[in-house]
Amino acid sequence: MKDLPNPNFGHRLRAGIAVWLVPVLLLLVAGRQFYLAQTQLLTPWLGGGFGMFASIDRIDHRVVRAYAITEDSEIPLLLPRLDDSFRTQMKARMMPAVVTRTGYEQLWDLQVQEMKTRAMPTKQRLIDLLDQLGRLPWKNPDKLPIRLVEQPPDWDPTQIRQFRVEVWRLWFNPATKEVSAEILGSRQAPANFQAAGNQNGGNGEP
Amino acid sequence: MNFLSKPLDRLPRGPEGFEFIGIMTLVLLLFHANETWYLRVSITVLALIGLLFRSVLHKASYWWILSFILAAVYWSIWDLWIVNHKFAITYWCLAIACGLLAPRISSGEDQAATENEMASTSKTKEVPSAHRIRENGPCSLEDPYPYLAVCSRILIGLIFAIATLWKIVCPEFPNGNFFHFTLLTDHRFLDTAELVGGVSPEMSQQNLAAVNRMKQPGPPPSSVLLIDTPSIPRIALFIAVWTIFIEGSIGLFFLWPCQQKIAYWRDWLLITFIITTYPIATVHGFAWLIVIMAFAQCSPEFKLQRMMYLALFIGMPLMDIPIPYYLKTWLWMG
Repeated sequence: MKDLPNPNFGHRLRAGIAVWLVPVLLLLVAGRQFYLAQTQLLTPWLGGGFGMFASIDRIDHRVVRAYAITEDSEIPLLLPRLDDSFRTQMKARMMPAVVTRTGYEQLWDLQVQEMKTRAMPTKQRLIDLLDQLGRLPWKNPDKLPIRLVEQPPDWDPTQIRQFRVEVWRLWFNPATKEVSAEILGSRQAPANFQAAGNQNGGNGEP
Repeated sequence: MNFLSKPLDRLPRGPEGFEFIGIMTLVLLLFHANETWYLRVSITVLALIGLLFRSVLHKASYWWILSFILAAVYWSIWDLWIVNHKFAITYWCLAIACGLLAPRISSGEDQAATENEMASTSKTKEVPSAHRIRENGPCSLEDPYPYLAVCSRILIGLIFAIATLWKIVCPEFPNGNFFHFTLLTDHRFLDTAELVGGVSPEMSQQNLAAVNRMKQPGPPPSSVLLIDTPSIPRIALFIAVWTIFIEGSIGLFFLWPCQQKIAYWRDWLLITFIITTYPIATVHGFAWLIVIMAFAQCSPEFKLQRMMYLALFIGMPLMDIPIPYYLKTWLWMG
């Protein structure tokens, strides 16, 4: 820029960049966030769109529910959340007694995917979360990094036929003072789809 | 106000003022850029370099490196827990880097060159933008980086304007529903709800437990009921209307072209917003950043406003004192 033939032009160019580059970048990122919030159900609290403290729909008020489906029952899974501290999860017995390195990495990957899905429950993210569930060592329950909510007495992991994940968000009705939940997206996939690779799941979003 | 005249005269200005801005930014980064270990380590090392070797603060490359690290890390985890002010911190470091690349305005040769340039362009009525900044001021002749001040003003204006737009677009905000729910269930607002809304601690705990039940694994309950008082909806509506008014005003005033009267009042508007908001909504990283950016764009002629910004920066940790809690306890014990 020092050797520009027209110093006045160079002066103005640098001044223009100094003043406008960052505001334009801010507008682009905020515009992207607004688009994702309107079309991909991104929570307004994330993404750099300055939508914090504008909507009840924050990531803390969204829930991912996962189920292991057998032939005759649906067993809720206790997914550990990334925003819960490690110690809190240990205390809540959300982690196995012995966390192997592989188990820890699987837990981390699962938590990250859970949070990403909760933040923006697109079809691909729901599929990726099902993929993570399918990769867990179900045949070796002692090494599972997640827990079943209630373990049936005759529990046998090979009975699992499908997994289902759902993303819900809380909503508030001030007239009745009721807090209810509405579903944002769900996906279901066969339990053996890990062998077939990361293929498409079964049902789509409601 | 005579007792303030000496401290006001000693407020940093010119190149020293810019170093102040740089140091404040590094302090902000040390406390609030720590989401991952690699970010924390790299930012700490760079911040220490900047704090110990002040001349580094005037190097655009230093701020480019900081900006790049922040942008790369935050972009990789943008949809996890990166809240808005992390983006804004990155923008601010970028703005400093860009501001340092811009033509520097100083006395002496540069000023003479600018005046010569003006004389040569007077026939075509082209005024160099730097001089236009001075004329439309309040940017001072002593400010070596006036473009940073302009960029800072625009950034503040855009942030508040976009935030106001979101609050108007979300249907639950303008009618107070958002704050109705938040006052009853957000732990940061519970003390305020108990202090001014008449909500008891037992009611707050029941509301928190009710919301937690909705988040348990397995099929959710159809609904849960929250407990409130008749005052809460009125307080919520008041806060919502006030927030839209003040944030929208700040956005408008800061985006308005630089004029003396508007420049004078917009700083007081922003100071009022900071003082009334952040003791309750304890997002101190954002508050600190806004204070730094406001200080950067505030003309040295507005000494009292600049001192207020500095005082807010230094006093921000005091907002962690749970004043609503102690007020509530004192009133109830009395």
